[in-house]
Amino acid sequence: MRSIISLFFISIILFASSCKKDYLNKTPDGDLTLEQIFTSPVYAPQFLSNIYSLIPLELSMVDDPTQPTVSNVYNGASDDIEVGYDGNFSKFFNEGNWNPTIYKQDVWTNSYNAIRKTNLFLENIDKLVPSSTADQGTINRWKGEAIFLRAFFHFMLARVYGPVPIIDRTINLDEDFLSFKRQPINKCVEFIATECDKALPFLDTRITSANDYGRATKIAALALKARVLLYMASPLWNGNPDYSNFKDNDGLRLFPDADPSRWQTAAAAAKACIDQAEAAGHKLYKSANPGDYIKNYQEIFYKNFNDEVFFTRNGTEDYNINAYSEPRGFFGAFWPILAPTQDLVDDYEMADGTRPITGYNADMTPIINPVSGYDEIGQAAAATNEYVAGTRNMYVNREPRFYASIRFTGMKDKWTRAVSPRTTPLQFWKLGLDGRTNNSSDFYSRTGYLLKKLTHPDFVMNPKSAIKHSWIFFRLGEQYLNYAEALNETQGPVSDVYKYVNLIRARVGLPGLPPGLSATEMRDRIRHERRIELAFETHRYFDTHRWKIAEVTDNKSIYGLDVNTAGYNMSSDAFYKRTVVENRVFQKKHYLWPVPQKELDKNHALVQNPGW
Amino acid sequence: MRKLLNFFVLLLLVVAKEGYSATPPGFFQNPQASWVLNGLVVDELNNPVASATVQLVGRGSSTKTDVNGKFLIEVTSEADSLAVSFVGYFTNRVRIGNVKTITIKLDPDVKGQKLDEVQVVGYGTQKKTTMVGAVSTASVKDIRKYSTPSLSNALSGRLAGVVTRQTSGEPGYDAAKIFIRGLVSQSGSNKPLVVIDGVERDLQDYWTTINVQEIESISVLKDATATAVYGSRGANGVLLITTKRGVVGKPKVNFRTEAASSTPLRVEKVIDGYEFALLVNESRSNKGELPKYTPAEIQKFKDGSDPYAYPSVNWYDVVFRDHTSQAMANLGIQGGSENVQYYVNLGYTLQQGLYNDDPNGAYKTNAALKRYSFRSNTDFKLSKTFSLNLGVSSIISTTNFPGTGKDRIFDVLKLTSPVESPVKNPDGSAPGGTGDSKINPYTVITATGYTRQFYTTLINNLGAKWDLSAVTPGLSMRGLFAYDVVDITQDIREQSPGTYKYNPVTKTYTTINTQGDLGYRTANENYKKIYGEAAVEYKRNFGKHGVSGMLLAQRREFVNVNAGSSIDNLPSRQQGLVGRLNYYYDSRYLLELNAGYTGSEQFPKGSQYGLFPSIGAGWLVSNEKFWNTNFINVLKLRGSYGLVGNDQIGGDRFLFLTLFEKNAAGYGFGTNQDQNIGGKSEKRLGNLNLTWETSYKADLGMDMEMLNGKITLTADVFHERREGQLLRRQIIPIYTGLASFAPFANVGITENKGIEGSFQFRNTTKNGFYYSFNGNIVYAKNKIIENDVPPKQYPWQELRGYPIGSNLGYEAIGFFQDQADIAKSPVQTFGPVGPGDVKYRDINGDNKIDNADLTVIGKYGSEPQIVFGFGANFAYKGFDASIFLNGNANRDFFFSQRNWTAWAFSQDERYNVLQEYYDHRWIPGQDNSKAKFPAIRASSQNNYQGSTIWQRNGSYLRIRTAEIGYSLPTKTAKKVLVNNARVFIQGTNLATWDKIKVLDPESNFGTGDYPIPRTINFGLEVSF
Repeated sequence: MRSIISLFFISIILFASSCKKDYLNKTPDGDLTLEQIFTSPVYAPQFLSNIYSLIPLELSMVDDPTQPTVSNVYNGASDDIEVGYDGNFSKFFNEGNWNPTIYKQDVWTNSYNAIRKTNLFLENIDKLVPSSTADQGTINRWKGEAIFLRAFFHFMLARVYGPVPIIDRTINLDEDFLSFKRQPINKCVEFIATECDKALPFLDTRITSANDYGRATKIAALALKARVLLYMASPLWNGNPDYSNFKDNDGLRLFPDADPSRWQTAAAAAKACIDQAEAAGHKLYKSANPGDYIKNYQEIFYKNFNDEVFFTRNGTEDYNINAYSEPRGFFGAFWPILAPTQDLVDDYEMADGTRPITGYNADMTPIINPVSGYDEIGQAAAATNEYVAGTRNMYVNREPRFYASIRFTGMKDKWTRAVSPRTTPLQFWKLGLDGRTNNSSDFYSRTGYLLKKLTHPDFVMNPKSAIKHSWIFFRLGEQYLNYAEALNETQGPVSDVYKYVNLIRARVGLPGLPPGLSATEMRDRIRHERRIELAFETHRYFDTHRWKIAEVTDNKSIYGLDVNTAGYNMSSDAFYKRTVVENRVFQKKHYLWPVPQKELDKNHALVQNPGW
Repeated sequence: MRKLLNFFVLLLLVVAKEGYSATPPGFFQNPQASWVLNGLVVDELNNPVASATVQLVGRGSSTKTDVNGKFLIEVTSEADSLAVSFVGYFTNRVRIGNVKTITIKLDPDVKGQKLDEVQVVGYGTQKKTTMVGAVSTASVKDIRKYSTPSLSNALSGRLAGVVTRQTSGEPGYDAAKIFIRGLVSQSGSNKPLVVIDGVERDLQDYWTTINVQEIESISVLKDATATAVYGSRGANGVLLITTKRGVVGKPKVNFRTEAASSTPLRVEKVIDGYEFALLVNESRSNKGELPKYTPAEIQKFKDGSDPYAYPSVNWYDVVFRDHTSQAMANLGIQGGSENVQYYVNLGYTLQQGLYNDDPNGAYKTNAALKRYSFRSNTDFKLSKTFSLNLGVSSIISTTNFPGTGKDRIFDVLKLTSPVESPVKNPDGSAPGGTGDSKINPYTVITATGYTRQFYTTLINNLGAKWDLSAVTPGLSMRGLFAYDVVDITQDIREQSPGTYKYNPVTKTYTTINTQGDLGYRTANENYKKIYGEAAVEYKRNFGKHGVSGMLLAQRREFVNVNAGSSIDNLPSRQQGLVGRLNYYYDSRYLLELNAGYTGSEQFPKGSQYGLFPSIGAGWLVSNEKFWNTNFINVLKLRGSYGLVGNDQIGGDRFLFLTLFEKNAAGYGFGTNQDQNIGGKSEKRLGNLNLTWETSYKADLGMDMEMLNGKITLTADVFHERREGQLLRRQIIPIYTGLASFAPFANVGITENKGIEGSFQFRNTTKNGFYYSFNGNIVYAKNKIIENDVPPKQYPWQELRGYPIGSNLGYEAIGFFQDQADIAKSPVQTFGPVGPGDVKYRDINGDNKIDNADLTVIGKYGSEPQIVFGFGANFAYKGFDASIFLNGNANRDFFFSQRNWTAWAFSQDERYNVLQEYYDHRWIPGQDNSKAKFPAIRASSQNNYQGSTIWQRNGSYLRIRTAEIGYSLPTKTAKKVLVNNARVFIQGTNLATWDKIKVLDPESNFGTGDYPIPRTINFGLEVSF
């Protein structure tokens, strides 16, 4: 008996002592450390790749909370487009119902998260020893990309918040992280521009390996620099009297006095970008058949990485841009919500370059330019490649970019598509094939138009085709217009101004601008050209802001056709009547987004933007 | 003090070396000639008492009486005394004197709250008289009065200081939430530690499924003295459960069977189709639109003349049965010889759910629980000094559920209006529509398949005890090994039902959804736990000094075997040392020191271990010489202070490690955007200073017995400050790029204080009528001291100083009377408003109602501050009766803020509407002075903001149990060959008084859950 007892206790003792000393020190196997990441030529570029994934998904104009990054709220908040989905953040903008605590698209958080990653990358990448997998040149290029991305994300912040804290290093938990303040806008711009310069020696001029498309290049850095300097020269930031008293708690002015020479700087930066881009082989996109102006223009946006493109946001999957623009009449389509406004439709020129509409009467009937040949009554007698006979005269004989950008009633949309081509024209009236189906249907084009530009002509909704799209952040065409605008502001309509605007027009077969324009007339022409050429590329939102005209363009009613009355057909006059879609609200405070309240609560040294 | 110190030194020496020669006289006496005392223990009716404990006071030897109440014990001194104790009786102390035979009579102590009994405490037992900790015990007899398969429900109101709330009645998931002295942690778990038969056993809340009949005692440890031994595990209090063991004697068989009929309580009452149609028209009228239904159509809803085109269905009636059933049976056998004692128990529980089955359906879908529980506790005495105890228990249950989860069923009940569709189409097929009404509630419960859940729990203990009196008297060692497994396997048979839309005009059907095949998949969860401990104990009296001590080492490993991730799959481990030292002087002064030194793998190397000491002291005033009142027989004052930890701090595991995400988002480079090389990113910043929550607990208490035990009273005042609560750092600015994965840190602080008390009065009249009253109450008030939230822009949004679980919302100040009222009131920015809409207070006075006007609404938080229970027991001859009520007060209740709640058309004239809303809404042109709810206005954004309009007083009082029983007189019983036979009828949840009325007051915030039942239970209990 005793021996059993003894054995029992002996075994307990053995059990207790046989257990490993680090009984409590069991931690996960295979953990990754910072050291491992930045000493591995495989992991280090993955860290960089993750930073790219935070570039805003601007091809997504409808909020998508499932995405790890922010989407494009700007288009829906500009007078180019009305997003027919009431939960969309742009709707809050348009109704003026946003404030420092309502944030659906958190650009602040997304950008600063990305900026920390770039800093961490830059502070550690030198640990990587060059190898055959990643030689010094490759490592340098990665470094350049990270410097570019850090500048890029600061620009993402500055373009909506204005002055922001500049974060050029990682912040540790044990330091006084409340010592950071918002920097004056000129400091922010200077930082972005200087960082672009800093990145230049590390970056390739153009992407040469097909597997690398999407990476930042020297030209992309030059384009970013030119864009941010253009913004700096523009009235919103350059000596804006509304902000002359906008100071932080220490009395530091956050917007500088006006300095007209900033236009000169901007012009020089744009010219430098253009020259170096062209030297590297970039050119305005010309398709195999450049005479097909419509197709040529369309292709810029879906022939990925064509010669005109500097920098993109690559897609990982089929973007909803196609689905949200697909007319309901196509099998499987049910989200036709990206609806261009009548205001934009009216702005497209006639095929001969004349403006069809010069203004509006009090009842919103258009004042038609008599020499344009534009007509809102009657229907086209003959069909063209773009529309059927019987199409309203409004849509007849417009410039090529109209047909490449807007879906309208009567259009032959995807008639020549290889897969299940359509044989009926688009019909946007209520109960029409593509119109609102009934009163409770929420998703329909609220203006009677749908987006065509940026979509892919071969897209099929059901079964959904997986078309990989890239969103163009910087392209040569924009730089032409940047240069023309800045140059006109500093030197007036000199020949280079004409040259670059006319290059844009010539590509789509439009005549050049009339000679002898004044600087002011030229400014209007350039602004008009930007609106058309760069439509739906988010430029409109930022242009109206930086020109300080948003208080006019975004503070009025948005019009469309009468899509809510049933019983129309293609020839119903009442259908084409301009009808209010939304009464938009814009107050001066809306020029800058409010800094999120949750951030101000944490650091009282941050000041809120004026008016919020 | 000096004396005390000397004594401790002495004690150590004694332990070190047996028979220390400098022992003062009186400490040890030389062994004298001993003799065997032959004794008999009888009860008040002179019936022998089997298995009473007979202890030779101060000598460490003890025995138990046999089945005839007899015992033999070796006695060495005439001065020795015997202490005879038996559950339910006062312990009787008898000085032996110069006798060889003795008969000892025990006086009954029918109710449990005696001060003079043995109490289970952490890692051992203690006499109630010598305890200084705050511990309360529930009478197992009372708990058995609640006929429920979930133990936690039976505890409600029974234990002073224990807060329970049953939120759901779903079979298998009807366990109550349980907290001890209310909520204290903002972020970590507030669940008490549950210790069963000496081992921490909270595997998937296994303890709530324990068969009530197997339980010997339940007690709850509350203050630092009682819980410090659990170190970093004990801060939330400890629930101790011990199961029955064998006794020496002939087999005693106890058989109990009971069957109950249960009725769902507080099933939501909703309006009918006629009222719904009227409401739609009223909504349109309020919005200035034309009515949707013509009077003729409304009439059709009313008279049901066209039930397919104009249905009027009460989905709750369709889905729920009026009543259901529950049955339990239990067979227990107890017995044993001097060397082997056993307890074997087999239980069976059948609990039917409330859902209707489709009589023509291919399978049963009603929720139903079938549970077998088995337990065997055996004690072996291998030698005079060495004994083993083996406990084996298993619970096997099979539960059936509809193919759609409970939450979805209750969603669909709210989403489907009475006019949405008929229950079935004319041809018997299932109707279907679009969107939310694609499948109606009846189809959801009957035709979406079913799930069968198999729950298997195995609980095993092997313990050993070695009496080392041979080394030095009072010394013993013991060891315990436990191995528990829980396996939950589900066979999931899902089916997509076929639904068809019937057109009553054309009498045609359109297929909405084609019927799918009955699928099959399984899901498995599996947990195992290994626990081991070894202890040395010492217990001895030296004249007026009594000493006991314990040192224990323990180790625990828990593994989630079938975890979803490799980190969760890693074993969680704790180990530690526990020490306890008690000192008593002259049965007057009590001192207790406890310490737990425990380590947990949750924390970084080097800071894994923490010491949690506590000190408690007591004064038995009534044992002082100056105490000569007969009115108060026992008065004890006690106090304690100490530190206890909580390592259940929530969040992920290994929070001290900095982690990088291996599978972060990458980016598709390349012409085809498919050159995604993958991504790496920071995932978590480790906090190397991570530690447990620390609780500073103070407790002052008093125990009192009056009128010779007729009245007992216990009262405690307590204060707890819980520091170091793990919160994600909220004050780190976003621009650091750290905010999204900010580290966790021990920054939260809360305070909890309150009082609790319990009392009992009992008496037996001369003619044998027994009656007793008892009650208990706890009032615990917590508040947030630090939550690491940056100071709010608006001070009225600050949650510091408010209870845990407080809400921000708008303060409703009534309804807009008319357009003029709207015009002169601040602008409400949530959307259009009209007369009858909710009007909110403009807190910041900017003449605009927006989220700057959000403020803290409610005062008490989501759990009650006051919980109480009281009841009475009566017995006369063979009859007995009891009633028990419990309730709570100071709890805020909010109807759900979710936008599709049953509260009328928050969406587009759809969804079910509560009768309560319909009856108390604001109606244009009527006297609305008593309106409780806003006017009907479909999809109103304004009215469905979280606000005080949805707030109710959550207090309630409930007749929790009532019981009437009759026992056959012993003689009659003997005739039918049983020792004892009793029939009883019990009722639970018989009546409720509260202010919510439409939902159960115990439910979570929201819109109701699976109703809890009212049961009427008949039973028979026989022992032979």
